[in-house]
Amino acid sequence: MTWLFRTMIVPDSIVATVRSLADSFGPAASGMWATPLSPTGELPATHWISSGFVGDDFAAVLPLSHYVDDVWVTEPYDPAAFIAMCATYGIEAPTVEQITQIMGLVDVSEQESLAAMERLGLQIVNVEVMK
Amino acid sequence: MLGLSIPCVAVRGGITLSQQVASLFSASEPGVWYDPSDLSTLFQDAAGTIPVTGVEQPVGLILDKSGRGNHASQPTTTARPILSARYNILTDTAFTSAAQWGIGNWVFSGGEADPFGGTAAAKVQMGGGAAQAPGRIIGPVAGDVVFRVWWKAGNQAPVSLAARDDTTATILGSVRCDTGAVTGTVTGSIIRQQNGFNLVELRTTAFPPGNTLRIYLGGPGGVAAGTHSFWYGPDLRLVCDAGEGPTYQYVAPAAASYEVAGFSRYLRFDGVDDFLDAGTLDFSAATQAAAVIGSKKLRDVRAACPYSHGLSTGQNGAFRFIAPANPGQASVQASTRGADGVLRETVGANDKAAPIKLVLCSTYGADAPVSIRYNGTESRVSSGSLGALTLPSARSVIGAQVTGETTQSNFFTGRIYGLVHIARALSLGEQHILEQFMRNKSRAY
Repeated sequence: MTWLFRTMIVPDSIVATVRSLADSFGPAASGMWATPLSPTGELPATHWISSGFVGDDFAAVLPLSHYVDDVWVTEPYDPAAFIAMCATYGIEAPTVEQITQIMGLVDVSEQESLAAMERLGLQIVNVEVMK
Repeated sequence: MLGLSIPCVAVRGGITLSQQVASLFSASEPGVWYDPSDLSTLFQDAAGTIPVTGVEQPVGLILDKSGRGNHASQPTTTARPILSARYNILTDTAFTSAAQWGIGNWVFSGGEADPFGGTAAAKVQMGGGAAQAPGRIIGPVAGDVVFRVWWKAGNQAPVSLAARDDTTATILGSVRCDTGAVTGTVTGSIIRQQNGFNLVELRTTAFPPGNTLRIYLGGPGGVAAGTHSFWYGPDLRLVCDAGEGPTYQYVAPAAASYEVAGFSRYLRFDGVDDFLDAGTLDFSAATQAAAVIGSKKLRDVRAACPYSHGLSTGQNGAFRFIAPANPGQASVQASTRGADGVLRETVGANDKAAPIKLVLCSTYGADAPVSIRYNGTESRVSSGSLGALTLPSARSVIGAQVTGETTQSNFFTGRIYGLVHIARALSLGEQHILEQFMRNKSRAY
C-alpha cells in the first residue's frame, strides 16, 4: 500500500452523502469529515474537513487540485474510475451525474490542512473543552 | 538545537531505564505505556499487518508496552497520526528577527503573499549600505545538511544561496535561486515552483562533522544596496544517510546516524482529526493514578487534549491533559473530575505558550488535588481536593478529548513522544523514572 497525503474539505450541504458513501468502503474510510469548519470559527459549520493519508487506490479516484506555477488548477476528473472502484468493493455506485456533482463540490488537495483552510477562508470551529 | 540534550540510556544497578519503566507495572497494575520511538510497537494499519518501517508513515496501531494489552488504534486512514522525526534546525523560520540572520543593513518586513497563497506575508530583504548578504551561523552540525527556502524575485539579481564552512573559512558553493545553477562543492536545484516562488534547495557534500556551518541568503559576494527579494520558510535539516527523503531526515535503517544527530521520533497529531483509541482502561479498582507524557504543543488557537481518559462530564475520576485549556491561551493543565462531579483543573499562570516542549507528570486520586509537574521541576495543583474518589473504567484516547463511546473532540496539534498512564500512586522516585524516560525521548529539558 502506498499512502498519499490528501486534505479533503466538503461543504455542509453534501457532508451526509459523502460520509455515507465513504462508510460503504469500510472502516478505513469510515468516520471521516467529523471536524466542522466555518469562515468565522463559530457555528454553524459550513464545511467539514478530513486530512491525512489515504491509500493510493482511493486517491486515484478522487479529484485533485494544486498549483501549476502560479495558477490553482483542478485536474480533469473521470467518474468512471470511481464507478470501477465501487465495483471492486462490491458496492452500488452512484450515477455519473451524482459523482460529478459531488466531486465538483469537494476540495481535494495535497496541501496541509492549515494551508487548505486558509486558501478557502475557513477555520476549524472552536469547541470548548467539556466542563 | 543540536547538542544541547544528550541521549541518555540510564542504567541503575544494571537495569535500563526502559526496564525500570516496565517494572512499574510488575504487579499487574492497570495502565498503558506507549513508546513511539520503538518501531516494533508501530503498525501502519489498525489490524497490525503492516509494520511501520520508517518516519513519515501513518500509525494505525501502537502496541501497549505495559503488558496490559491496551493497544491503541485508528481504523480511519486520514485520522491516523504520523510517525515523524522532522526537525527544522533553524529557529526564527518566520524571519521575525533580523538579528537571527545578521542584523547589518538588512531589513525584514512583510510585503508579499506566501508561496501557498496565504495571507501571511513573506519577508523582504532590503539592502541598505554596503553590499552584503544576510547569513546565519548555524553552529556545529553532525554532518551534511539540506537547506531549503522559498524565494521570489524582487529587484535584486542575481540571487543565490550559499554555504560556508566557518571552521575552515571556506565558501562551499552556491545555488542560483532563479536558475538553479550550482557552483562549488554543494549540490542543489529549484525543486518546486508555486505562486511565483521557487523552492530552492542547497545540499552540502562531505561536510566535516563538528565543523561550523553558515548559510547565506543572497550569495556570498554580497548584494547591492537598495535591492530586495522575497523569502519564506527557511528549513534546514540534517541528511542522516543516503536514503534521506524529500522533506525530512531519513531515520531507518540508519539508526546510529539518527541517534547521533539527536533526533527523536514522535507521533504527529494534526489538530484536525487525528487520534488513537486505546479502548476501555479499567481503573475501577484503584483510587490513585499517575500520567506522564512527553509532548510538544504547537498551537494555542483552540482548546485541545493530548490525552484523555473518561468522560469529564459524566464519569468521576475522568482525567485529561489540556493544551491549551481555552482558545488562544498559553496554558497546559491537568484536569480530573472529582467525587463530587466537579472538574478540578491545575491552576497557575498561563505561561506555556506554543510552541513548547514539555514532559508533564500528573498525579491524582482520592482525597488530594490533581497535580501537574512541568519538566521535572515546576509543580501546580488544583484548588480543591478530588474527594473520596474511585477511578473509572472508561474509554481512553490519545490526541483528543473523549466525548462519548465513539466520539471525541478538541484534537491536539502537536507531537507526542511517549505516554504512561498507571492506576496506582507512584513514589517521587518512580515519577522521576518516568520523567527521565520521557525527557530522553523528547529532549524537552
